[in-house]
Amino acid sequence: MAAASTSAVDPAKKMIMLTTSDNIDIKVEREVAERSILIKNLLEDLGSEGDEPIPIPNVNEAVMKKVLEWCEQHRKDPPATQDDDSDSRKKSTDIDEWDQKFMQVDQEMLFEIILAANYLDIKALLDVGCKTVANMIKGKSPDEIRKTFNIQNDFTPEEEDQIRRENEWAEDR
Amino acid sequence: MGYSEVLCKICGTSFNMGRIRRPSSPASHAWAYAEPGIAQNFVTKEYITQDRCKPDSGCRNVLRIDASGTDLCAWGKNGGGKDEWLVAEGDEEDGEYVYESDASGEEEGFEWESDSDVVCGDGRDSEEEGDGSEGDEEEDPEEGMTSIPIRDTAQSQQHSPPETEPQPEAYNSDSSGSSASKSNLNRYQKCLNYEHLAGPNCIHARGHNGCKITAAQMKGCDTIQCLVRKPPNWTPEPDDQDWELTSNYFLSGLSGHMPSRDICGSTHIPPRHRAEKLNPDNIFWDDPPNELATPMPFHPTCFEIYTRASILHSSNSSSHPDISGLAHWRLKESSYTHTRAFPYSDPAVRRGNQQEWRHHPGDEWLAANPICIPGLPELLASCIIPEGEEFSTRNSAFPAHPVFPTRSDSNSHLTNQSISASTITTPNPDPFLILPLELTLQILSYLPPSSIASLRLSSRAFTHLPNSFFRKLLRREMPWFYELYSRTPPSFWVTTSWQTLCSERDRRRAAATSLSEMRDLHKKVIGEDMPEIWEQWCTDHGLTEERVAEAERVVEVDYATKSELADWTGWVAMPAERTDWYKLYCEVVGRWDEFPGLRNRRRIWMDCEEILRRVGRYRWDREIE
Repeated sequence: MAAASTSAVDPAKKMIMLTTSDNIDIKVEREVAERSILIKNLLEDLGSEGDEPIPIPNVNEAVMKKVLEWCEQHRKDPPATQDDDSDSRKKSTDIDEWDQKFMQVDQEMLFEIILAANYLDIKALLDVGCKTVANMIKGKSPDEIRKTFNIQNDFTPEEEDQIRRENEWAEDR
Repeated sequence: MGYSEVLCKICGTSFNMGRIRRPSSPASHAWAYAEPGIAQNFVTKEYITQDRCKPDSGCRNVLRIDASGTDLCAWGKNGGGKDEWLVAEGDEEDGEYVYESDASGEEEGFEWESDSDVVCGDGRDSEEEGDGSEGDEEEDPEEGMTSIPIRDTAQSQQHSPPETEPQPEAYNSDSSGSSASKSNLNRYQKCLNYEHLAGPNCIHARGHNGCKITAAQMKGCDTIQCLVRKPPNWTPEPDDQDWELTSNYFLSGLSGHMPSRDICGSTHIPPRHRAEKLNPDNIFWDDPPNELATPMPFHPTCFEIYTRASILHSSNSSSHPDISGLAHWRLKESSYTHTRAFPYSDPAVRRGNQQEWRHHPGDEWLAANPICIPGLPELLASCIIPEGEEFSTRNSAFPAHPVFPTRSDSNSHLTNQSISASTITTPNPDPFLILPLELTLQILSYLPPSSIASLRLSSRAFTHLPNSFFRKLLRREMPWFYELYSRTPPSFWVTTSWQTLCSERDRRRAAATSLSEMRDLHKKVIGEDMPEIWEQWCTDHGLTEERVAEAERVVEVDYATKSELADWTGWVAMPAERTDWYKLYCEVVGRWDEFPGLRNRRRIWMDCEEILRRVGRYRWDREIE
């Protein structure tokens, strides 16, 4: 984190305060925090100079610090574009090197980051999170997927049969 | 130069794919490349013995051209004539076979010849077949004689003489006049008189097996259209498409025959912008290329697929296809070397690309019309939910599972007694169950169908997926299936046919002649004999010079605006909210083999995507504005 600002001229460098769900205050540069569209909109709506702490009730300190680490790294990225057809095209699951390292966390943290990115409206981070999960699934058998994500198999054989029948659309042509 | 095929520049396949009909099909369901001087527009008996179909293929060769040179089915590529069925009577092997015609009611006995006792030789490539007179040393096992391995010349001299006299002026390029070459010539000539009829295991290289693909599925596989560079004096015509008005190129009419590139060019109907006789080529033989003199040939269906892929891929959501990009790619990559090196998406294209297109068993789908696909409109219509029926694409595509709760009972498995005991106490419950639906769907958006299927067997979070999910999945996995998202029906040029345009041309010419005669006749009878009422007569009958001139102009140019010339009316637009997308996905996958046209469309689409990638690179390099 950057050091506390004094009489910063550049509003982007101005420090703001976030309060996490476990009541921890975190100081962060406004430009970094504004990678979150939720925080950006809150700051604009409040119209304040960011003096008041902004409550983030759905994200705890550990996750927030991790998310802000990503925001710091990507503070200069161009804003995400809204693409209506984004679900209609084949998507790459390529992830850049820094993000790959960043996502090397335990599984609980990975899903917490995804949920936080969704709540804070940080599209690029959400994409990286979902891609990371997708890459953990690709090419694996159902057993391997369950093992990877510690999922207990509670399907009855009959139910498995039914799902297999429902999966016939996925066969290669 | 010898026979040399001009291929479709977009998809890389031949315009001269033949079809070998089954015995029970009409003669019009058989066709083949017909060189000038060879009347036979059907696949003839295989000349190279070792390339013949196996004895158990179920194939037959039947005398089609009699001793007087008459085609016993008298069917021409332009249609007309008798359309006859071949039917077998009695025993398949030895029975009498007759042509049966609804039109004439005639029944004629036919000589049949069976491949069943042919023993295949080894080691020769059929590509020499076209030369006919060259030294194929094997004798023909006509009339049930056993064939001799090809290098056994001693025995090859013994076999039966041909029934018909050779026509050396047409085929004999061998000046030696040896008895062997005469014999080969005779055999070749004789083969031309026999039509090959396909059994289930037909492997004849000169046509697709009619048991594997229907004539309707192959409709238009021999149709050629060209992208023509505009000459300086080009002027618009009423049926120009929007892009043609602004582009440097325009589309020709259709042609139904692509001759060998050393013979002549193609003739197009209608003669749009006076482009009637063209010399299209997929290869530029000149350096620098002469684009004006050498239009770019393609199947109209391939061009349609290119335009759709181009519009879908355009970054600025343009509604116009990137024609200048296509033309630039063609200019850059049409040398012989470039053309051979293009990475077509399916190996079947390279497999068939021989001197003459080689029709490999199993590759019939390459000839299937990729736009007008028999049976597809019915399939699509069956997936549209009738108004009034309860349906929502937001509901799960799958039925409720009998024992376990559905996903819509949010995280209810946690309280379901049947499975809760261990789950509640498990420190690491299924992490996917804590994600909201939109995030599970986003994860799925990065996964191929096989992984989605595996996930459904792994985690209850994916047991139920909304029906609308399959719409997105279809669009992602099958972008070439444009019926699913486009509101634009196929262009006129793919819904009509060359044959229809020929008929229309003839009909209009006849009408124009008739109109002209009437005008002249009436002018002579009334205008000269009763000049005082001529003017009034013309007014009463609306007969003016302008009207005649207008009629003639329409006769010549105004084809594409005539919707009645469309042979294909199978366009079905799928309503996003009233389509069972899951059912559609299952139907397409489950019945994939029924629709070779879809498989062909996917292939051509992938090749168009490769072209567009290359166009993109040329744009990136600022070679295209």
